[in-house]
Amino acid sequence: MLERRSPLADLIEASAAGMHDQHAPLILGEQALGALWQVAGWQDFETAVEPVLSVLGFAGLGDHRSVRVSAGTECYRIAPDRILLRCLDVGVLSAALNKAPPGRLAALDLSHARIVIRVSGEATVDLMPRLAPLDFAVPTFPIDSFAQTGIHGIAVLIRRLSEEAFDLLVPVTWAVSVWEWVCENARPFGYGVEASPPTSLGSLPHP
Amino acid sequence: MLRIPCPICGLRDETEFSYGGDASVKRPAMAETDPKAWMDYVFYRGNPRGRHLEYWHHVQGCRQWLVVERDTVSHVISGCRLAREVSP
Amino acid sequence: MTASRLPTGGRIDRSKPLSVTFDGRPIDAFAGDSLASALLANDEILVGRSFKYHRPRGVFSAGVEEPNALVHLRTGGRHEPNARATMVEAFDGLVANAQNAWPSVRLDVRAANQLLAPFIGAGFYYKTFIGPFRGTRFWMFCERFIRRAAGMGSPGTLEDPDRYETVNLFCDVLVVGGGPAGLSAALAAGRAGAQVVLVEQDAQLGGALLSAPIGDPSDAWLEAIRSELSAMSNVRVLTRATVFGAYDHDVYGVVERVWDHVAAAPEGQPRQRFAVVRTKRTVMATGAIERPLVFGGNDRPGVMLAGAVRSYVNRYAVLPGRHMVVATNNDSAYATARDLAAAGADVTLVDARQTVPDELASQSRAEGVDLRPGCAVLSAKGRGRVAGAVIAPVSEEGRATAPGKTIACDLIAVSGGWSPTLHLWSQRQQKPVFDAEKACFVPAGDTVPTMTCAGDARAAGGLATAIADGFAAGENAVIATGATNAAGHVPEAPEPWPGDDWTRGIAPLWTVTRADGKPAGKAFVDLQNDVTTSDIDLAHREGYQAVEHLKRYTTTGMATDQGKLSNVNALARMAQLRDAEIADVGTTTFRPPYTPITIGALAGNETGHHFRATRLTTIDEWHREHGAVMTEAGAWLRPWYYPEAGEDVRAAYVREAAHVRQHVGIVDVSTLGKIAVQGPDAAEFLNRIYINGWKTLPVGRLRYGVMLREDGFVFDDGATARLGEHDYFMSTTTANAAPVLAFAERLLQTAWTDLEVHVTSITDQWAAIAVAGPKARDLLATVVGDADLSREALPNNHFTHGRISGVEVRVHRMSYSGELAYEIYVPALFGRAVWEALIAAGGPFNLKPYGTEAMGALRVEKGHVAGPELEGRTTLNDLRLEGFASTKKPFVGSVLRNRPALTDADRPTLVGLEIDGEVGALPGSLLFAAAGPTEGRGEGWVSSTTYSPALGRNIAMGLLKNGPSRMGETVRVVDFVGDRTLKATVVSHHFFDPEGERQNA
Repeated sequence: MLERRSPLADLIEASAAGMHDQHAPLILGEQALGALWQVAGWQDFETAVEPVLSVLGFAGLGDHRSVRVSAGTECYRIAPDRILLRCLDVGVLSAALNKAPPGRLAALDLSHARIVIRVSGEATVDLMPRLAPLDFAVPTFPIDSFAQTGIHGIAVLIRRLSEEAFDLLVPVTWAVSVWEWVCENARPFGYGVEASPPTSLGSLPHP
Repeated sequence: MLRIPCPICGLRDETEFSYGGDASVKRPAMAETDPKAWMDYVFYRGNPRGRHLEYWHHVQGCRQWLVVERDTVSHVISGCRLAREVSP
Repeated sequence: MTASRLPTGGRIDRSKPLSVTFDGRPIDAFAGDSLASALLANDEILVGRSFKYHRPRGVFSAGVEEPNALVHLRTGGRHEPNARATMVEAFDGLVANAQNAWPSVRLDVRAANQLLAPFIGAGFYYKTFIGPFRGTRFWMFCERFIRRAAGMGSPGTLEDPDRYETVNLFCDVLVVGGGPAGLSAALAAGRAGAQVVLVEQDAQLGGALLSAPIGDPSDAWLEAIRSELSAMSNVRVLTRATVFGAYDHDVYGVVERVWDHVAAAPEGQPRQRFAVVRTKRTVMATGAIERPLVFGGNDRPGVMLAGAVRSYVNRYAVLPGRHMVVATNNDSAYATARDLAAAGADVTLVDARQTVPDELASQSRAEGVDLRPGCAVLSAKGRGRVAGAVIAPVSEEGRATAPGKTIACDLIAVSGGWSPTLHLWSQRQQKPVFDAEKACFVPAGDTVPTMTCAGDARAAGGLATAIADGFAAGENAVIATGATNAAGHVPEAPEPWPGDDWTRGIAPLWTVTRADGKPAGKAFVDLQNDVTTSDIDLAHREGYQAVEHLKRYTTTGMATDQGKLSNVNALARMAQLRDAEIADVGTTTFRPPYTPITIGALAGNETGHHFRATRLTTIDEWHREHGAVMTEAGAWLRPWYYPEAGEDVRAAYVREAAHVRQHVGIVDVSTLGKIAVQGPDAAEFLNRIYINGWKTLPVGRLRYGVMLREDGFVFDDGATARLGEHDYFMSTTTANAAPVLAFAERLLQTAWTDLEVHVTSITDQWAAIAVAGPKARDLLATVVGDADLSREALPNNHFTHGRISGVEVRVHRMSYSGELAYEIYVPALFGRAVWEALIAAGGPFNLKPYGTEAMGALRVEKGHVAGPELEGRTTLNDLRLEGFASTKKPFVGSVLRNRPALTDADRPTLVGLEIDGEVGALPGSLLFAAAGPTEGRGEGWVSSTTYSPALGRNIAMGLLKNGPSRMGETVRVVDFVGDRTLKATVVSHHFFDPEGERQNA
């Protein structure tokens, strides 16, 4: 089997080799995406997707801000009629998608379309306002909530893991540019790069 | 800078959106053969001073097309709805 | 006598001396000094030369309104012109130079301009260079010299070595200004629990309080407020920061001068920071700026604003002179007189009002001040600096009622009243109103519901009033944002200084003149642009009486200080001349920035490599490692060519293209737009947007499609494959990927909401590799498993699934090059690995990579239309594609494409051109018949060009009027820009293998 390689792999290897400062106020790195599928529907979306969601343990479509987690799967409602499902185990998603009523849902594999940049550390709350035009204070951007916005002009999805950690889902063809942009804005604070192999099964953040 | 209250994403900078023009014009049906109906739709627009209904596309966000009600003089935005819920 | 540093007092730190240089001379300075205060302390009175007349000028103010002390700051890449010395914090190693003077500010040859003064008043160049000289090159001749003489400082030419950054801030209450009103507002809002941002342009909080003497009761008040604010985690204080613009929806622009106060920012730190602040409510506590008095010679070095003089004495411990005249029409200058007398100066206080408030009068006399009510300064005397003031009794209108008497002095401190700093409020498209009683413009009530003006910014009154006003504004702002804690009580105001309420009993005094109504000498209104009262009189005489005309004709208010000291005096004079009310003359429009800001701060990190984001395919690194020279295709970087030893682009692409036709080549086409079209109505949707039909396309097949715009012009083309019953894979051109997706979403969400279709970008999900050439099939047969790629099983416009080294791929048979060709779609993160597998398998077949230049040459040889032909001005008919269009169903653009102008038989249509000779045609060249004049737009143009390795000659595609009927004709190809004419033969654009035998192999 050939190598599934993130466009950030070389950059991170090179940076991590040179930056031993894991106590820096910021740690940047890449996380495994796992499998990512978009499921979309039409007028009857809520009822059509119910069998898929209930297999995964989700009730209802959810709101447009919360990240719901159930049995290792994350569910994001990104539009009135679209959700993203993310799971490290593609088998779990396939099994769920098999329950889709024929012709009523459009399922789309996006597992190669995004990479995940993780930003963490005490300076995260200072870095994020330099990346995106959102209010990142905890009351307005709670833990386990997400937002779709732009970083450096690129549409991204930002998910808050904890008070001082965020995951950025970035389109693959823009990944290098966004990574370099994040690093440039992180420079004044000082940062370390975490070399986590993106092709291995990392753990999904726990709530 | 305008701040647009996207019904899905909340209040956001206009730089996340792409402007889509007048939302009060209705696209003729596909079966329409009269060129004048198409000329009106494609080329002719009012230029109101005051209340204007216009499309904004949330390209760095939920990618929904929105109908925004904006005052062309004061820029006050008094409404913002999903386009699919509004018929011109 | 000279200006000097006082031995004690001031808010400077004498234990920290700094080395500062001005015009190459060392200047003694201390921590806490501004460049202006250091210059004054060293008796450097002459700091610049005026704009037009090159008159000697000295420091005039102590703030942002400074019109004269504009200097060249720093050196090398950090050089900055027009820096206001009053706003520059002195630091160790500061280097500054005077500007607008040669060879030096003390001896400036252009002072000779003063002899030309009668000829270079307002509007001189409008009159001098039009009229009899119209139509000649006289203006352009003179413009060269004027340009060199114009302007103030000279710009930097070296790259800025500093970094800047941008940050986004959100808050409930933004307080602009850290003086007494602003501090009180921030306190109220902070105590109530709101998220507060307080922005102050000075390095210290305090505003006007910093001009009080050290030990004044206000010091303790300031310290108490400051420490309470700093203890609140919900209050963020930005100092050295200016709110430069107020924008729609309560968005504000702020520039924070993070490290401007040192020689260089620490490594990796931003020198300045641009903050975009989004707030719910704003309190504008921006204070007021003092106005000068207008009298003869009022621009001499040594004439200064009275409040500024007080600042220099109390804050910087600088006494700007020994024998002072203080001239005023309001109470505020009494504090200056008192503090000057206390510092040992001998003070004559000239108050234009006949009756002055009792307590002020007796206080000043007790302090030894020579008080003269009912008098004003008629003119300033002295060459190079003030040596005396001519004082006369004046009427209410400012006319002398008796001859003037000269008093020897070395400083004239003036106060003509105060102008509230209402710029930010006005930027919200508001017109201020004139308050005749307070002789100033004020913001008009509640017209901006989310912004409250407080304190001097709305001429509220004295110190205690400003504090109460600010506190109330803070409380009200918080109520609107829903914070719930109590704000508590207004902090008790400290004992004010004399005349703290300048609104009380002010007597408007717009010009001081002799008995005949004429000023006694050149009376300046706008110091920075050298505009005098006679310029305003001239504008009035010539009919430029409206305030917008006044401004532009005289240039008053148009300098870098934006009229902070001049606007009101100028329009007051115009009102006098027009015999109108000041309110009727009105003000011009206020625009950001309030004070000059550096472009670098606005750019932040988005410069150089980061000017905008770059898009890369997942195979990108392989290309670079193998020597590809990259080229920009929109935001993408793509391999342009892969040079072998010593090749330039031309040699490389010719070799690469020939290689594809002779053997087999591989090219990365991942940049093509890809859109998933899914749903029960997908076929119907495709039918509506494409000109051709889609209902009969079976699964496993793909079809070329062309899309029009709503106005009937060609929009885009691409191939769409049917992956499943309700599942289509659409491709677009690289450049139109985003616009096509946006258009599709628009139609589905605004017009065709009943269609059950979803469109989603999958450009990132799939890498795409094209393998083209006679050996393509043989090569792929060795690499692609689980697939039958034989001619019978996979004809053109079909696709199949397969595996390459275990990775599931799709193989589309589709040709752009005209050769036997396949596009392989690979999940993107396997893109590079699959590419490498193909390269490895390609050895026996002589597989070589090719870039976009060769790709372009191959498609031009085949005559395929691409971007240069689909440029938005061409129709299906123009491109000979009308045969593709269905006649059985409507599609986007189907009606408007038949407009008479779009179906005119005379329109240029697509042809091929065989170019004569060694030189190729430039795209954009115009086509003309073989004989006759070459004027105007010609009969067509060249769209795409290449040297054709297959044909061994230069060819081009173009559009030519009546093209199809002119086959074999010779035409001229004219490049007007490069001034070259070529000859070409008109041929079919299907240059190579017109029957398509190679691609159908």
